[in-house]
Amino acid sequence: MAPILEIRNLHAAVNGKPVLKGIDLVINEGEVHAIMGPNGSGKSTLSYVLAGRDGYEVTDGAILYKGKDLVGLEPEIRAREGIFLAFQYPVEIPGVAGTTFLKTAYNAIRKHRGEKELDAMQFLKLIREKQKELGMTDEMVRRQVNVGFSGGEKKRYEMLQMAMLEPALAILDETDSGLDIDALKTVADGINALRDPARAMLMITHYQRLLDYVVPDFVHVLAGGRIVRSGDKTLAHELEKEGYGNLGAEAAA
Amino acid sequence: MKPRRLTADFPFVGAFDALRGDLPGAPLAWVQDARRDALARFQDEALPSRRVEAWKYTDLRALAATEFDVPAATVSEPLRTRAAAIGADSAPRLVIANGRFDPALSRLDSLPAGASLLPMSAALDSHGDLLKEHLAHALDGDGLAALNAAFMMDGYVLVVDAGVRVDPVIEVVFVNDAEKPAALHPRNVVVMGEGAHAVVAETHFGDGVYWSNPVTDVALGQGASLHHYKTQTESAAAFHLAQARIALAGGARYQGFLATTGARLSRHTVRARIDGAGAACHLAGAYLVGAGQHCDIATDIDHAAGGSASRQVFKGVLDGDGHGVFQGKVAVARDAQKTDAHQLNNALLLSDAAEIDAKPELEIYADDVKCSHGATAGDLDENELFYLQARGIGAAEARRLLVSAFVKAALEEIPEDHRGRFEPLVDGWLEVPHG
Repeated sequence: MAPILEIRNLHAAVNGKPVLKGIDLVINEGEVHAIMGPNGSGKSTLSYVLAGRDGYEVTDGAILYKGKDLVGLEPEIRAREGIFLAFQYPVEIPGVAGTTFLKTAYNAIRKHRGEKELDAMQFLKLIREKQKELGMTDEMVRRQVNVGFSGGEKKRYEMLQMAMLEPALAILDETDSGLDIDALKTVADGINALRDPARAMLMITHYQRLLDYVVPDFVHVLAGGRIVRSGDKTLAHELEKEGYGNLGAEAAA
Repeated sequence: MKPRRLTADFPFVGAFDALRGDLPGAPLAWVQDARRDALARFQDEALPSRRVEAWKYTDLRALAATEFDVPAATVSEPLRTRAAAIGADSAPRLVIANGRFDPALSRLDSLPAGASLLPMSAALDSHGDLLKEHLAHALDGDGLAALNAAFMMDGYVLVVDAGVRVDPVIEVVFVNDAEKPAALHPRNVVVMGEGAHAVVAETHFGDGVYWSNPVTDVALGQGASLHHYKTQTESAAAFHLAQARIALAGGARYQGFLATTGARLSRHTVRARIDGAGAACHLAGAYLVGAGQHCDIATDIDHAAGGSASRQVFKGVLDGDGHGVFQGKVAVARDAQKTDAHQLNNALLLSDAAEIDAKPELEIYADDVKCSHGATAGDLDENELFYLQARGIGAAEARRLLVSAFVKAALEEIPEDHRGRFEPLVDGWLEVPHG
């Protein structure tokens, strides 16, 4: 199994303030990793650093994606190379139609891969297939990006985008937050449907709940900007029972 | 020297006596008198300087320093071809080329009975009594209005009788072409009878250094409705200083939309007076301003009657050292109770050197009214940009999508079937850099 993502001694700062303080993590193709941790541990920072957001600066260490250095690449180049960030808070973009948005994204990625861009008809056919699996209607897909969506609809729309863009590395940032149990199951089904021997996933979550439906191969605990424990899925249950309370001491040690 | 005046020595002004014989209505004594009165008023008023509050943000010194003369007799073939392509095949169209009616490019016969579309030069003969009253307004306007009245050139006159509905869009084209600096003073009048309806779409464009100084009077009778659209894509070296005066009787509806991308300096003044209950004045627009451009939108809505509504929604995009001005005044008279007035100006500043001055002004003397105003200025939203980029959309394309969405929100103010007229203009503007 080839590694999709290799993070080596990653240090990163947000607006000059150090948040990630030496993360090491290797994710191979086909694997699903979960990163858990208390609020403020650096979970979302890690997702933004991987996606290349402005203001999230790598100060030390390396991030290799399929063996290539990611640091310094624009977010759109990372996305075209196959990295997908499912947002904790998907952004509403008034005035931009969902279909225009997704078709532009889809074709930008196809072009980058040297593939022929899809015309409007081909694109609609494809999106109809995918939206059905996520229980989304034509109307929802045509609507202005995320405008007027409930929390659950926004997360489903993230999953639809992921299904359309077929990333090699999916980073799911708190995808379970704000979902009721039915929406959680729908979203989990969407994630499970995309599990693939050629695809790696990194799920970032505060609660173990999602991990009952999307069972990870590995679980890591992030605290104080470092991974303080790693294990298999049983670690998630242990944390659920005992909480993050005793991790602070370990992290500081 | 009065500091509120900005004097200028335009060659065409000096040639008044030589020119007036060739201008519309020359054989009519009342027109000649009106021209002379207007010239005297211009000589008294001159151009407004920045000391005049309404001109605080717009400097006419570059205009005053240009040696504007009379326009050439014709415009180039490429420009005429463009003019001929405007509007649906059978739609009414009136073309003013360098201030003169161009019959070959115009189509005036497709209006229903009870509606007349004609050039000012003809209307002065046929509709003299009707026009006298409107043309007299120049004498209580500013120096620019007086200059327009003194040198009044062709424009369009639309008269729609009571109860008559004109369904096709009436296209009016102002095409200008100047090898040496030329001044144009189109004069337009729209008179709509009780319950009449029409849609007028003005398009202004051209080549070269010129100054277009159009004045438009609109009078809407009881329950009349006018959609008045304007596209301003004048030459990059042009000055465009337009003013419109709208009078609304009870129940009348005026809907204006302005899309402006052209000219080095443009100003669009709209003064509306609501004289009857239940009337509605709706002004909206999009101003796209690039490097080296200055665009000023000045509105003034006077609610003189109760139970009336006004709504103003403008979206501006400024790039390079582009400078935008939005001055929106709403006055509500003491007995204009139950007035509903809303005003919004949103500006997007795409560069550090871009500037917007927004000045909302409310003068409310009635106590039972609903009045609101808002103005914002800012850059694109970083979260939105990142979201698009995180999906593989390049930074430039992402910005274009967001700017387009921002501007097109203004188009939601007009009916869907008229938006197509403005969308290509916005898309075209976004295709090329303006920094």
